[in-house]
Formats: sequence, C-alpha cells, structure tokens
Amino acid sequence: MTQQSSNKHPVCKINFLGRAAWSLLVAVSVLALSVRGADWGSLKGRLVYEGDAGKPKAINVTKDVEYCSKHKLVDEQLIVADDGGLANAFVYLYLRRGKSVDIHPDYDKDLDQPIVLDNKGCRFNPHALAVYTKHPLEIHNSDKGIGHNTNAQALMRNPKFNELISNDSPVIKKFKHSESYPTPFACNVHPWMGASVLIRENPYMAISAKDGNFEIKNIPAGKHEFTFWHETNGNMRGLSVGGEKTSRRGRVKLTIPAGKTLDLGEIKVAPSVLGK
Amino acid sequence: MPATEQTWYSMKVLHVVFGVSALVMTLASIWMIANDYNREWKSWTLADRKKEAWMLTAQLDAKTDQYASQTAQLLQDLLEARSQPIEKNQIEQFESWVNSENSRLDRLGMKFKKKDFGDLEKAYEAFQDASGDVQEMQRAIARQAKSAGDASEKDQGVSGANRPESAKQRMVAGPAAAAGPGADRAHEPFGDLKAAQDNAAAARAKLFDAMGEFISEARRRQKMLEDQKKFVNADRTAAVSKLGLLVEAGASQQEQDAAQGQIDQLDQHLEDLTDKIANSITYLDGLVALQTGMDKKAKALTKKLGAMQTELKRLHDQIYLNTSNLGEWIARRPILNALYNGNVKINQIWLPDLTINYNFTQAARFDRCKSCHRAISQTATGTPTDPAYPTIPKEQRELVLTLDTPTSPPNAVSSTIPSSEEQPAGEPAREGTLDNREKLKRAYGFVLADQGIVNYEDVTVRFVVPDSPAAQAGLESGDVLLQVGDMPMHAPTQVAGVLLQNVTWGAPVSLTIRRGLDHPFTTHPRLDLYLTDLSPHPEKIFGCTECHDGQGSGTAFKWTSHTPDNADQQQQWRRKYGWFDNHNWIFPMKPHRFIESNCMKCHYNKAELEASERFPNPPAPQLVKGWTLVERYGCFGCHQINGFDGPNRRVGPDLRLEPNYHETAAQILRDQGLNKAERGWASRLVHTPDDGPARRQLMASVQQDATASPGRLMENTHKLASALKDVEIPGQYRKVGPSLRHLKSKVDFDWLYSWINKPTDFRPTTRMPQYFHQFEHLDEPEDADQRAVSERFEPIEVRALAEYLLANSSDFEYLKPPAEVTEPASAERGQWLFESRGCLACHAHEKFPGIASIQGPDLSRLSAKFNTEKGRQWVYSWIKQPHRYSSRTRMPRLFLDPIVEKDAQGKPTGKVTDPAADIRAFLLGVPTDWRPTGVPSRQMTADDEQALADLASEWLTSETIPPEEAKKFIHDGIPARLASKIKSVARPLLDINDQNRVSKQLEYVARETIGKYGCFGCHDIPGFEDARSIGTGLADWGRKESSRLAFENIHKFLETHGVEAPGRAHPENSGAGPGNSHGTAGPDKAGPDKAGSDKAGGHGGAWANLDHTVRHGHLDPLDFNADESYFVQAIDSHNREGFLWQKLRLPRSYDYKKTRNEGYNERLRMPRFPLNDAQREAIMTFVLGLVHEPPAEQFVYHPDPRQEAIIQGKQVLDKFHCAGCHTLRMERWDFGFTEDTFESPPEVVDYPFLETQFDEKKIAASKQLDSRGLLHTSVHGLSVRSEETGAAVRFDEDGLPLEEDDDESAPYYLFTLWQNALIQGETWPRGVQDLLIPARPDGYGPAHGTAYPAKGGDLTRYLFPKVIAHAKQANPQAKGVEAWGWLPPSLMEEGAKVQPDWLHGFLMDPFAIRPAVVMRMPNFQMSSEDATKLTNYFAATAGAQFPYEFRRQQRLSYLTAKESHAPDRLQEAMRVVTNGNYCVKCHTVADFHPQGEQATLGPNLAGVTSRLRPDYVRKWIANPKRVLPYTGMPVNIPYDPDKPHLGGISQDLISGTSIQQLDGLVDLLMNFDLYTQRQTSIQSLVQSGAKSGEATDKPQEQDK
Repeated sequence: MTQQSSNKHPVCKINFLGRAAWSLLVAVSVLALSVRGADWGSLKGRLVYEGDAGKPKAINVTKDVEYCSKHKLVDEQLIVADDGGLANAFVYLYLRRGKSVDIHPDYDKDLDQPIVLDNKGCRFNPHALAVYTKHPLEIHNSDKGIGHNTNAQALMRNPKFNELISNDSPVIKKFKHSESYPTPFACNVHPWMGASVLIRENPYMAISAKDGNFEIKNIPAGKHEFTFWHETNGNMRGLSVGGEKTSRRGRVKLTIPAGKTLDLGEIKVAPSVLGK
Repeated sequence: MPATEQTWYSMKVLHVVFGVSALVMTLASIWMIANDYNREWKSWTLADRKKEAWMLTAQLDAKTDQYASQTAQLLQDLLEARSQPIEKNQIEQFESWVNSENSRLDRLGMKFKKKDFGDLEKAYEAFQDASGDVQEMQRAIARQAKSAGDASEKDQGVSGANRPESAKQRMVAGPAAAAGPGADRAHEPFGDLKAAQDNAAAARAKLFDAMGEFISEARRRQKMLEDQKKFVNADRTAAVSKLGLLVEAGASQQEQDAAQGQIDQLDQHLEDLTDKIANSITYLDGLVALQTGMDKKAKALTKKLGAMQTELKRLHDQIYLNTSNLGEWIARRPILNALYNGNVKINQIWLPDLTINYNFTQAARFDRCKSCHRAISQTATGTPTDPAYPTIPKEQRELVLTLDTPTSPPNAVSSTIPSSEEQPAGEPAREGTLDNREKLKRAYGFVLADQGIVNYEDVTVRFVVPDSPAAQAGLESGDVLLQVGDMPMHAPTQVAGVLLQNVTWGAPVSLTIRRGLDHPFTTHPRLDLYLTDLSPHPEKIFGCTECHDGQGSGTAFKWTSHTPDNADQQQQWRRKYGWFDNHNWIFPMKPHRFIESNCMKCHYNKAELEASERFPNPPAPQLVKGWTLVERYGCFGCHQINGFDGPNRRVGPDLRLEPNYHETAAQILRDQGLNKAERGWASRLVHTPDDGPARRQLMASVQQDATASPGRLMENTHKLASALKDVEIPGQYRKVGPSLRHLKSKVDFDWLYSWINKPTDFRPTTRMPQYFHQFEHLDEPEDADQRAVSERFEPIEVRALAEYLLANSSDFEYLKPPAEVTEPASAERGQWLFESRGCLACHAHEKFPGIASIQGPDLSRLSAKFNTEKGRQWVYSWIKQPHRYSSRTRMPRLFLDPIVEKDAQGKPTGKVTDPAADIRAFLLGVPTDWRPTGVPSRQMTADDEQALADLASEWLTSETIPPEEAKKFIHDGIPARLASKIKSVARPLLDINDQNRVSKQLEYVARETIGKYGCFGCHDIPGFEDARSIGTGLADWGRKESSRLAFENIHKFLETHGVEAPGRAHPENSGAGPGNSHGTAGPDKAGPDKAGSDKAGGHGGAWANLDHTVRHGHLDPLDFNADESYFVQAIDSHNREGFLWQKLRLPRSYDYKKTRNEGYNERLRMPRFPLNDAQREAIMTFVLGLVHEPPAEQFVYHPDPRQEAIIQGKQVLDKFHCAGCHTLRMERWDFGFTEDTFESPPEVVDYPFLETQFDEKKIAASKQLDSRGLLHTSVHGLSVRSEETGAAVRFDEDGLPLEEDDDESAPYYLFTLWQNALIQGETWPRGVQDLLIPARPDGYGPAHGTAYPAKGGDLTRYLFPKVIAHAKQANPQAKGVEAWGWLPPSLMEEGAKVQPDWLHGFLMDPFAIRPAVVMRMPNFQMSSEDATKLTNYFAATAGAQFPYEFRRQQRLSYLTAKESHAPDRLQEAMRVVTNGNYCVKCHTVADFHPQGEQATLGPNLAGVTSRLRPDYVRKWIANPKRVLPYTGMPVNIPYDPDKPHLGGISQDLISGTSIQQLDGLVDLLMNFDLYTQRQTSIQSLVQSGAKSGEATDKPQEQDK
C-alpha cells in the first residue's frame, strides 16, 4: 500500500531522496567536526500504573452505527495492561525553541518511508503516533464506504488542517516544525474518534507499548531533558524518574551514558499523575 | 462773555493746551506701544519656540552622536567597497558587448567613432594592482590580529568563542575603532592600508571613467538615431499630406502611386530606425547595468551617507527657524515690529463659515488659540497621529527608574558605547562639565542639557544613547532628573558628581524623574480625531472653539474664558494668570469633564461617536455613556428631546417617543361598538403599529362615525381617533417601562403597592425611579407640618394608583401547556434552559454570578412576585410568547416549544418536556424571603377615607371651584348639569353615591396623580393614550439661560444638609442637628443669592467673584473633593452644571423651604433615579451638549451611505441587544514586538482565490521599526480560552497552558486570527495557525500594546465552557473548540455571507438553521424597517453589496453558457452531494436527514440557494477553516497544483479539476431549486391532472 502510494507520487519521492542525501551530507560533516558527537547512548524504562484503571468504557456509537458498532469500540484514553503497564505514554527529548541536537545516522535511513495513521474500524490506528518531520505522514482510510475526516485543529507551529480522507487516495502531510506536545487529531463525523500525534524535528521520542515499555535509541551522550506526557492529563508531573521528580511540565534531566543504555527501570505512575 | 479775537489767538493758552495735549498724547502713545508690546501671547510664543529649539537641538545632538560612529564606519565601508577587486570577466563582458555592437554596426555599414580598449585595459590593470595591494595588506592585518588575539586569549583566558568576532569587528571597523588595547600595534599598517585604499578608489574612478567613454559614445549614437527618426517622421507627415492634396486635386493614379511609394519608403526607413534605436538602447542599458553592478555596494553606501546628512541638515534648518537671530531681534522691537515681526506673530485660524452667535448676529470665528498652544497639532516625527509632546496624566508624570551602574568606576571603563571625539553641536559646554559629560555618556549613555526645556534650572536629559544602560532604564530625552537615589538634584554638575563617584559600582541606582510638559506646550491627545489633515476635524476647517467653546479671539489667558475643572485648579489659575469667571462671555470653554458635550453640535447619532474600526479608541466615551443612560432610563418619556426644528432642519439628537398608535388602537378595541373591519384594523395596529394603511382606514372610519348621529362608538373613541393621524417625523423610541394594560392578570395589590411605594425594595437594580418618601428637604422643625401632609397623602396616592391600574386593566387570555407534554416540569432542567436558551443575554439572576446583563430586569426574586395562581399562568404565557401580552416589549419569543427527548442514536424516547414550564419551575422555585412590607389593608380606614377625600378636594379646588364647594362635590358628586363644564379627568366624580364614593374618589385621585407624575411617559396605561409628556423639553437645555433656572433655596439647603451622596440622609434624626446650623445661617436668608448674582453680572471681574465666594463662605468649593468642588462652585456661580447636578442627585431639594407656601400638588414631581456619581456626570455631559445650535450644513456630520447604514443599524442592534448573544466585532490587539518574536507564517498550498494581498504601503509600514526598535501590527480575533473556565489562558513559549503560580517562563497568549494579519511584511492567513503573542505581565492583553475588547458576545463566551461541560456528559470526547459552533455565531462578516433579502426575512421570521446549536435565534417581532436597517448594517460592515445584490451564478444565461461545455455538471455535482462520503454524511439535503449526534450535523443544503452569497459558498467549500476558524467541516475537494486535476477528487464521481469540481458544487447549491425543478415534469402532472379532471372532481388528491 505504502509502496504503491510513493510510486504514485514520483515528485515527492525525489524530493525526499534529495532531502535525505542532503541530510546525510550534513550529518556526516557534523560527525566529522564533532568528536564527541560519535558517542551515543539509549534510554529505556517501563511505565506502571498504580491505580485501578478498570475496563475501558464502551463507546456509544452514534454514526454509521451498523458498521462501527461491529468493532466493539472502547474509550482508548487510558489503556493499562493487566500487570499495570501503561500504554500510549510519550517520552521525548525536550529542546528549547530554536535549539537542535545531533541525529544519529541510523535515523536518516529510509526517510521516504511514510508514517501511517489509518482510519480503521472507526478508530485511529494507532491511537498514539510519533512523527519525525523528515518522514511524511500518510493518513489512510481503510473503512470502505465510510467517510472520515482528520481534523488537526490544535497544531501550533505547523498549519492546521482538516481534510476528508477518502478510501482511494491517502492524504500526505509533510511537517516542517516541531510541535512541543502531542496534538489531538480528531474526526468530526465520528466524534468519539481521537488520536495523539507528536511531531518533532528530531527522532528522540518513544511511545510506551502495551506493556508499558519504552526505549529511545542512539541519543547523543550527555545531559538532556525529557518530557513525560500522557493523553489523560498531559504532562506527567511529579513522576519519580531516575531518582528525580518530573517538573510541572513533566520534564526531568537525565544523563545519557556514552555507548550504554540508561535503564530507568519501572516508573510508577500514581493515579493523581493522570488526574484520576 | 462773547468770544473775542483774543480768545482765538491767545497764543499762551494755545501753547499750554497744545503742550499738555502733546504730552498726554505722547504718554498715551508710549503706553499704547508698551501695552501692545507686552502682550501675553508673545511670551508664550517665545517660550514655545525655545522649547522647540531645545527639542530639536537634543535630536540633533543625539543624531550627530549616533551618526558619528556610523559615518566613520560607512566611510570605511565605502573605501572597502571601492577597493574591492573587479572580476576580469566583467571587463571582458564589457569588451565583448562593445565588440559585438561594433561588428553589428559594421555589418550595417554605419559610420561611427571606434575606440580601442587600450585605456580601459590599462585602467583596469592599474586598479587591479591597487586593489591587490589592499587585499594583501588586509590579510597581513588579519594574521596579526589573530596572533594578537591568540596571545591575549592565552594571557587572559578569554573564551575562544568571543574572540574571533571581536577581532573581526576591529578589523572591519578599522581606524575608527582603534581604541582597543591591541590597536596600537596595528596602527601603522592601518595607515598604509588607508593610503592603499585611497589609491585603489582613485584607480577605480579612472576605470569607470574609461568605461564611461564607451557609455557616452553609446548614448551619443542613440541620441543621433532618435534625431534622425524625428526628421524622417516629419518627412513622412509631409509626404502624407502631399498625397492627400493629390487625391483631392484628382491627380493621376501614377502620381498618387509615386507619392504612396515615397510614403512606403519613409515607413521602411522609420521601421529601420526604430529597430536601430531599440538595439542601441539595449546596448547602452547593458553597459550601464554592468557598470552600476560593479558599483552597487558603493552607491548604496553613498546613499546612506547622503540620507544622514539630509537628516542633520533638516534639523539644522528647523532649529534655525526656532531661534531668534539678530535681525529678528531688532525687528521685534517696539514700533519696528509693526513692520515685520518675524516668526513671532499671532497665529489665527479664520473660519468664515463656522460662525459664532454674537447676540443677534452670526460672526466669523477667529481662533487664535495656536498663538500660545503652538504645538497643539504637532505630530511626532514620522507618525501621522502620535503627539509630538504628549499630555501625560498627572499620576504618570513622576517616575522612578532603575539605572544599572558599571561594575567599576567610569574612569577605568573602556567604553562599550560607541562615541565620537567630536563635541556635540549646540551651545558650548560649561567649564568643567566637558569631561564629566563624556564620562556620563560612556558610563550610562545619557547626556544632560545645560538648561531645562521651559524652566531654566531643571536638570534635564538632553539625549540618551540607544541600547545604553540609560536607555534600558527607560530614560528619555526631556526627562527632568529630580533625585538620584535620595538626593535631590539641582544642577547637571551635581548629577555627574553623584553618578560618577558616589554610587555603589555594579548596584542599580534609582532615578526619580519628571516627564512631560505643561500646557500650553503640549500636543492635543487625540490627533487621530482632531487637528491633523488626516483626521476628520482638520484645524483649518474646524478651528478650536467650535468644539471647546471659549473666546477664540482672545490672546491672553484670562480673556479666552478658560474654565477650570475643579476648585483647586481655579485657585491656581487665579493666582498664576489672573483668571476670573467672565460672566459676559456666554460661551465659556467647556471644562475638561464636559469636553465631550460639544460633539453633539454636529453629531446627532450615538453610533457616530462610538469606537469604530477606524477609531478603536472611543472618541467620546462619557457622552456615549450618558446618551445610553438617557435611553435606558427613558428620560425622554417626560422630557422631550426633539432633534428637529421643522421637518427638514436637524438641530441635535432626536430622542422622542414613538407615536402611540398601538396604545390608541388597544384602547379603541375596548369599544364594543366597533364593526368587524374596524376591529381587524385595530388588532393589526396593536401588533404592527407601522401598518399605515390599517391606521388610516381605522381613523377615517372612526371619524366618520363621529359625524353620524347616533354614532356606534363611544365619545372617547371618537376623541382618540385623532391620535392616529400621521406624524411628520415620528419618534423612534419605545416606552422604557412595561405595559400596564393587562396588569391585573399579572400581579396583585400587595406587590403592586409595595413596588410603587419603593421600587428598589423589591429589585435594587431597577430603573424605575423613586417618587415617594423623599423628605430630605422637609426635615426641619418648621417643615413638620409640610412633612405631615406628605406622609398623609402619599399613601393615598400609592393606593389610588394601584387600585386604578388593577381596575382599568383589560382581560388577558393565558397560554395553556401543549397536550403532547408527558413530563412534569423540572426546575433543574429549567435552570439549564434558562442559562442556555439565551435568557442571560438580557437578564441577570443570582444563580448565575458570572454574567449580569442589564438589558432586562434581574429575575432573582421572581418567586416573591409571581407565586400566585395568576402569576404562574402569566409567567408561563409571557416567557412563551411575550408579544401576546405586550406587542411593544423587546423581549423576544424564544420558541420554547415542547422538546421530544431523543437517545444517542437520535430516536425519540417517548418523553416530551415543556421548556417553558421548566423555566417557570426554575424561576419560581428559587426561594426568596422578600415579602411586601408596609402595605396597608385593602379595606380603607376612616382616617384613610378622610385623607382621600381631602386630597381629592385639594385636586378639585380651582379658581372656579372654591374649596368648600370642592369638598361638597367630592362627597356628593358633581351635579350632572355641570358635566359638560368639567375636565375629563374629573368625570369619575359625576355620579357618586354611598356605595361607590371611595372607589370613585380613588379613581379621580389616581387619574390626577398619574397625570401629575407622568407615569405614562414610561408605561402604557389605559386611559392615557393621548397624554402629553410632563417635563421640560431638553433640546436646547445646554444653552438655557441660568437666570431662567429656579435655584430657589438650594444654596441654603446644601449649607445645612451638606453635600453628601443622596440616600445617606436620615429623615428620623436629622431634624435637630441641621436646625441649629440653620439658626445661625438664618439672618442672611433669601436675598443674598440674588443680589450676589446681580453683582457678579454687573461688575464682572475677579472682585465680584471673590466677593461671591466670601459671602458664601459656608459652602467653599475648596472644602470639597475635586469633583464636588467643581459643582459646588457651579452652584455658587449659578451655572447650569450646578443646577443639573443637584437636580439629578436630590430633585426635591429644590423644594426646600418652598413647600411652606405652596399646595401639596404644586410640589416638585421629578423622581430620584438610582444613579451613581459617574452616571450622573455622564448624563450631564449629554444634557449640556443639547444646545440647539447647528453649525452651517457643511460642518454637520453627513455619513456616506455605507456609514449611514452602519449608524442606523447600530441603533437597532442596541434596541434588541443583539450584542448580548452575538459577537459583532472580535477583539483587536494593537501591539509592538521585537523582530524575533514571530517565525514566518506557515506555507500553505490552497486555492489561489483564497489568498489575500495587503497593499504595498501597509507592507512597508509593517516592516518599519519604531524608536524603541519595535515592529507594530494590529490583529483581530480571539485569544484561546480555557474549556473549563472560559477565561483566556496564558501559555509558555512552547504553547503549554501556564498554571496560576507558574512564573518560570514568560507568558504568552494564543490568539486565533479572525482576519488575515500582516506581520513584518508577511500575511498570516486566518484559520491556519494561531499566534503566540507575548502577554503583558500585569493583566490581559499583549505586551507593548492595547487589547481592544470584543463587542458583544458576552453570553457566547459565558456559555462556552458550560456547553462543553454539558456536551461531555453525553460524549466525553466532545471537542472544545467546536463549541463555538453550538453557540450564537459571530456576525462580523454576516453581510458578506448571506443574501440581503434572506436576512431581512429571517430577522422578521427566524427559523432553525444549524442543528448543532443549543439555542435558536428568537423572534423579536421587529418591523420591516428595523429588519432592513439591520440587513443594510451587516452588508455595510462587511463591505458587501446592498441593498440588492446581483448573483450571476443564479442566472440562466450563466448556467447555459457553462453547461454548453459540460452538460452534466450539475448532475455530477449532485453525485458528490449525495455520495455517502461527502455532503450527506453530515448535512440534511431537502428531505434526507443524516444519522448522528446533533452537534455533528450541518444545515440543510437545499436552503443555500436562497440564503448564502455565491462567493461565500465558494470560499467556504474550498476551505471552511479559512472562513470560520473553529468549524469542524473538513476540506472536501483539496487543491494541489502538483497533482493530477489540481488535486481534485475522484473523476468517477465528478470530472474536471478541483476548481471545476468546486465551481460545479457551488453552482448546484446556488441553483438547487432549478435543479430539482428539472427533475420534475409539470407537463406530465398537467396532462394527468387534466385527464383525471375530466373523469373525477378531486384535483387536490392528484397534487399529492
């Protein structure tokens, strides 16, 4: 599917290739200049919810009832595994406006591979998504005959958009700027549909998996600030991470060791952190 | 003794006479000259010139200082640019062009001067050598600098990052900056470098000269060719005329052919020449471009230098104009000055057409105000409206600034501030300050002047170096230094002493300064409105005194009739300028507090004076406030304010009641004798009083009946008929109080009695004034009797009024709840309905503290009023259909129809609720402990009856009916024989018997009382349809002679009672206290007031006034606060202002001591209104401006049709309070920002027609930095609000909402644009991105700017968080931003959106459009006239066509033309509309209804045809967000020029590009009716109809 669509738009492809080559060039020259830039480290951890999330609530389907109600839709804001693993939390590198960071050459491979957000089964798939701006974002509609639109009303630094997504041609978006926080994407036709999309000019971001695990690879070694964020209550403040508390902005400073992985272990998320 | 010769010729006597008279004349002449020479204005002019020169010199100094370093830098750059090497290939290019041109000319065989390249190449080589030297030298210097830098880095450990930069700086700056430590070593090479550069520049000039020779040769050739062409052209003209002559003369064909041949030949020649010229121009241009290209940088630098020099010269010239030179000084001496007085002369504006009333004659105005107020219209350099010398409010004139000191004493400071070695221009510095001056400048960045601007001894800042510590502290040129730290400053040397020696280095020091100038040196604060040529009131046309009043021809302070704004100021003026109250001048200047009154001389509509797009700062806020209060309290009910003098002459604002047609008709309807037609007309009139035909027919019919005998109708009906006649110019205002025509169906006696008795008791915020219980003036022992009379009669009046109103009400039929309702009423549902259905747009209620509209009454205590059987029924009927009860109410019908409850899927649950019953349950369910108090039993006591009889007799007593007889009549009734002689009001007294005596007396007293208090001025009261208003007309009150104002004993009253706010007087215990003081004040009672004013009038001058004040020592204005002092003073001098002030505060106080000599019914009747001081002053501003003095026609404000539509519309908007729900104007933020505040706007690919361009001028202006280094912009929109609280949210720089206690990062507001904005030369389109605007630290709005509030939409903003919360109950994912779409829409561009005739119809008969909204547009039952005004208003504000609009897209010719290319385009478009993925997903289309939650559904598309304008529909479908930023409607047909079909949607669905697809949809929607028409065959219907018609007789069934 993805392959096809890229073939359909040769112009875009060339463009991306060109960009990729250029970025590579920049990256190489940066590498050549900076000695310390070659030291990279990783960050991992697991978020565990300490409260009782209960079963996700079923959605009251009010539109396209016949089709959508087949999918047993539930409220996906808070998804917690049986052992407490907290899914769909964002962990990402915080940079002040105008600051940049070295990017590991691994990240600049396959830049024409789109990141896909699908409208499938009357929900956004995936529910949480990270977009590195060098990749295009493709929005699909896999629900045959069901009209969806994708409304990115809350974008701050990229142009807002709200477009109808038809079955036959996906909408392709290229972003230029970092958004500071994950942005809600919505569908106006089906008011229950929602997704959180984080758009950054760097690839250092992770979304916790169903079991609560997350990992960010190949971060330049050194001290960085990371943001912890979850859809329920935004910034996860007061989280105990690596011996420090996250600030009111959900941020904490962590030192990434060169050539090693900083394992934060289990990070306990109290219900109050998610505003429960 | 007869005269002899001796008498005539007595030389001695004659000599004496002659001598004495000569002496006298000489003295007189000297005195005259001296007097003339010493006129006051001269000293002001000279002082102002001095100020001007001071300011200009300061500017010059600052500029000189600033330029000094820049000039050196620029010169250096210039040298650098001139020694830059020139690429060899450019010279080669030059040569190749010359060569090719030469060979071209050779080919053509043209003769020309050839020149070889020897000189050119030689010059080039010479230049290359010179330039090469320069380069080499520079490299050497750079190496040297680097090694020096490295060395110092090692030595001092300076960070490496800074070093290269500073080295570079030094290198570039060259010799000018050779002050640094390492510079000495580099000095020598620099010297060489300079020489080398000069050398290169000279070589370059030679090179250009060499090139210039080729260029001038090329120019010569071109000129030559052009000359040739001229000659050939002349030849051709001659040849043509020759041919003409030949033809005329009938010459042979051959001859003609020859002539023609000649012409053709010449034509050929011309063509040839034209070609040659074109070629030579190309050649020349090429050479010139090449040469200028080489010299571009140098040219730009030269230009910059030139601009600086021009600026300095400009300042020099201006200073010259403002300084006296010797010649001027001599010319200004006495006598000589008659011949020529230079720049010092009276500055007068002659206004021949803007006349002034000089008692019986209209004379031209001479305004000489500018002789002293010279800078009044002066704008700051480079701005159109900013004042050059702003008037700074008193409280902001003294400032404390914090100045950073250097870290070490300034002697050691190596300056970071660029400075020049030159002395600043201007006067030479004093001994000893030279050093310090330079030191101060280097250390702090400011320079002190040797003398103050106006006061010689002020320690004044001359100028401030940009970006210096002083500039950062906020110090400005012209600031007066009062204190440094705690030490007061007296001389510039002292400042230097402290700041250079006695400060803690590195610690900030505080500077206390005074900023701004005093009058008359300042500039007018509103140059956007007045004086400047760009303003609507240029000084040359309007002068000064038309707006300010005063004596414009005066040239001395005291003779111009300045008016002080309070007693302190008066006292000061008297001392300083010899001010006195000039009673002889009838137009004294308006004091500052009433300055806005005079706007009404030319502006007769309130809306003209309100804030507008052009003038966002309200032009006359206090006047508008007063005007609004007069409208709100309905002053015009009693006091007519007639703005017309005859049908065609406008004299002022027009506030009059509308004709009483509906009341008259309602009263006529009571007549049982009406026939059916008359009843029909009358009923129509009650509901639509503007129904002229019905009115005229009714009147004619009733009048006809009056002439018949016997008539069908009652005598009263005949009388009323005349009230139905046409009125020349009808008034526009409705009565402000509710109709009392059906009162008995609404309230009962107890409540009514209590209400009339004291309205504020039940509703503290009521507008109804208090008529009773005002006894402040009756609290002295001597007045005990008078007070007893009041206390006895007032309850009788109240009772009579209540009884009359209940007894004379008409019946009213209550509405019954609909049958389909299944649920009982619920107060809980009612509360949400009350909130969300729009009630709060007009009403306040204690349950909803966040919003308090004053359009309608506060409804908090309703249960105490209506918890009766009839009350409950009435409330239900009223909220459901208010116009049934009163056709003139402004309360609209809210369509509170039964609600069929639905489940989430939209299926009815079977429950039906009644919103009207719910709201009633809520309103009457809110408990209150208020009960009517002090209400007497309805059954009267014997005492009451006696009092009633006495009051009635007092009323009846007149010149013809003596008291005794009156008493008898009251008891026994007026004999029938007198029936024809009595007034109609006394008719109830005709047949009195024992049973009806009391009620008849009550009715009589009630009628008299209503007439006395004029209740019908505000209420519709049966029986008073033709009553006339009772108060003084106010149309010319602002010029009312004070001698005609009855001040009575008010002075004495204030002396004894004090000047305290009304309502604080205690009638019970104030009897004794004031009595004493009255005793002492007793002796000089009565007389003095009058004598005083006589004296003041007779003598004039300060004496009389002083005398006045002294004698009124008990009431000395200086004893009061500023505001009160003004009015006490005004009462002392018997001014209108004083009279009005007291009249509005305590109207009955004018009865003080007067009641003793007058009857009860002669007492003053004006009630007391619940106003505060500011409101009273606003009302006074309005009333004092009613002067009935229109200037010549051309000065009166005449709006253009668009403006007129806006003004008229605003009045209707106000009337129905449209702004309660709708936002009529979004917020506007005007602010300054630094260059790095905003990134560039995001690039969006969208339909080309959505792009908007700003004009060049605006773009240039948006890139202009102001003196603070800020850019400016103006944006319209709304800041992003919290979904929980609805309050504007502050964000951090990342766009994260800031919590209350978060001060970690600077705050911003996120601003949603509702209009495309222009920022830094770039367009920010609406609907694409929100702006993150730096917030002001101390409140709402932008930093460095103003937030002008939105107009209207209070309820929308209030409900925003509430509807979200409500929606989230049903759907937790409900999205906040879309909630704006569930609320009343903003109407900024409504006129460009909807079709005018649709809007007109909708306003008169609104219907539901958007399924998502929580409330519906109510029905105001407005007249067609009002609806038209609103329609035009919206179109006018949106810049759309009105009153009609031509819609090409709906013409058949248009469609046919389009369909000739694509016959199926509408069908295809219909496929999109009906495709399940597109329109019908959310929109109803004709009879199709989509599934889903109401909030997600859109309006019926079948309605678009008649509702929307085509251009709007096109923009909307193209990208809805670009029209309505919050909309949830997506882009359906995307536009992308890089994609097939320009990004259009599937060709299977609809063919063509995206634009064609879009236009197809627009055309379908605009012609939906036509499209459906085409689907129906009428012919077949007719045929089948005809067939069946033959067979059967049921055509109706066939229709279905």
